[in-house]
Amino acid sequence: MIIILFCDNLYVGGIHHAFGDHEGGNRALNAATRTTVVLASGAAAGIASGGLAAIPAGIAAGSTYDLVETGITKKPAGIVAVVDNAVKNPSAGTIFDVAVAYAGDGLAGYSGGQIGNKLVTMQQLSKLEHARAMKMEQLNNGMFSDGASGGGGMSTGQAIQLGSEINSLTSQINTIAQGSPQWWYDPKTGNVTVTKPNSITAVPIVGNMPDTTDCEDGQSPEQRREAQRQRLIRVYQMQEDAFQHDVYPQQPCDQLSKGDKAKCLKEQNSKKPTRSIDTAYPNVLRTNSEQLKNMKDTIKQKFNQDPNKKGRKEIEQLNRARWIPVPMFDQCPFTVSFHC
Amino acid sequence: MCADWIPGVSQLKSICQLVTGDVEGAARTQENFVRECPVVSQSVALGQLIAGDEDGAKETWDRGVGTISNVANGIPVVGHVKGEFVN
Repeated sequence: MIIILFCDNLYVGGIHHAFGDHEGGNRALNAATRTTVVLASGAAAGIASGGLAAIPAGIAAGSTYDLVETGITKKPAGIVAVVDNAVKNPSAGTIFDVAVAYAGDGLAGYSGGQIGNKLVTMQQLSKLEHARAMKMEQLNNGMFSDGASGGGGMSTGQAIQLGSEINSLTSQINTIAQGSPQWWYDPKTGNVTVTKPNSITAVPIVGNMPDTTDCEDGQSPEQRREAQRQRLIRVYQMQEDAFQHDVYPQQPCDQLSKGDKAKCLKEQNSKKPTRSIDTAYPNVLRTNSEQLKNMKDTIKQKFNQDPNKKGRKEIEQLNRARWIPVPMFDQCPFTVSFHC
Repeated sequence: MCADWIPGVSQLKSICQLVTGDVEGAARTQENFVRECPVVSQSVALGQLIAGDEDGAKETWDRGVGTISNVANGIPVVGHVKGEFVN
C-alpha cells in the first residue's frame, strides 16, 4: 500500500509542512482513503472467501480507485500513472514499477483480509467466551448456596452436564484460538499440553471427606450454608493439592551422557513418590471410571430389588459421597456437587 | 522513481535494468534510493553538507523527509489526521 501511495505522487522534493497547504493535505487525505478502500475490499473478500481472494480484491479496489481519481482530476493517478509511464517509456524499470505497484495493492488487500478474518474470529471467540462465562457462573451458583437464588441445590448430574457443556465450549474456543480442541497449561509439568480431541478429559473422583461440622440436624440455614462453604474451601484445597500429588524426587539427568542419562532416568522412575495424594488424604476414597461402570451394571442386574436395597453394597460409596469433583480445563478447574 | 526508496526492491529493480542494458536507468534508481530511503538519505545529506554541497544536501534531505511524509499519508487514520491538520 505504501508503494502505491508513493507512486500516487511521483513528486520529488518539497514537503507540505505548513498550515494551509491544501494540496499536501488533500494528497494525504487521498492516500489514506485509498489505503482504507484497498484494505476494506481485502477484508470483505477475505471474510467472504476465507483466504486468498483478498489479493485480487485489493488490486481491483486500488485500480478502480485510481481510475476514478484519474477520471475526476483528468491527471493519471496511482496505478494509472505508473502504467501510463510504462506505456510511454517502456523499459525494465517502468515495467518493474508496474509489477511492484500491483504487488503492493495485492499485499495490502491480503493484509486487509487477514485483519477482517481476525476481527470475525475475535467476535466468535467473544460470543463463545461469554456463553462459557454464563455457564460457569451457573455452575458456581449451583455450588455455592446463597439462599435467595436457590443456589447450592445442583445435583451431580446437572453439574457434570454443565461441566460437559463448558468443556465443549472450551474445545471450540481452543480450536479457534490455538488450533487444537484441548490446550491447557499443565501445572504438574509446567508445560503447555496439547492432546488429541478423543482422549479422556474428565475423570470423576468420588470421595468422602468426613466432617462433624456440616449437615448436622438442627442447623439453621445460615449454619448449613457456612458449613457448606467451609467444606468447599477444604475441597478446593484438596483439589489444588491433587494437582501436585505424586511428587517424585528430582535429580539432574540432563547433563549426563546418553547411557548414564537412561540409567539416571530409570533410577528416578523406580523411586517412590516423596508425596502422594493417598497419604495426604487417607480418608478420601477414590473410584475410577471402570469401578463406576461396574456399579452401574450391578444396579441394572438387580433391577427387581427393593430400590432402597438395590446395589446397596456397590453404591455405598456413592451414597455417602459428599462431593464429586470433576477435573476440567484450566479455565474451569472442576465442578463440585454435594448432597447435604 | 516509484518504490525506488525501498531497500531490496530498489536493488532488484536496478539489476533488472542492468540485465536489459539500461545502465542509466539502474544508476538513476540507485541515486533515488540513496536520496529517498529514510536513514540512508539523511546520512547522504550529512555527507554532502560536510563536503560543502549545501544545495545538494538540502535537496537530499527534502526528498528523504518527503518519503517519510508519503508513507505517513498512506496510513489510514494517520494520513487522514495529517490531511485535516495540514488543511
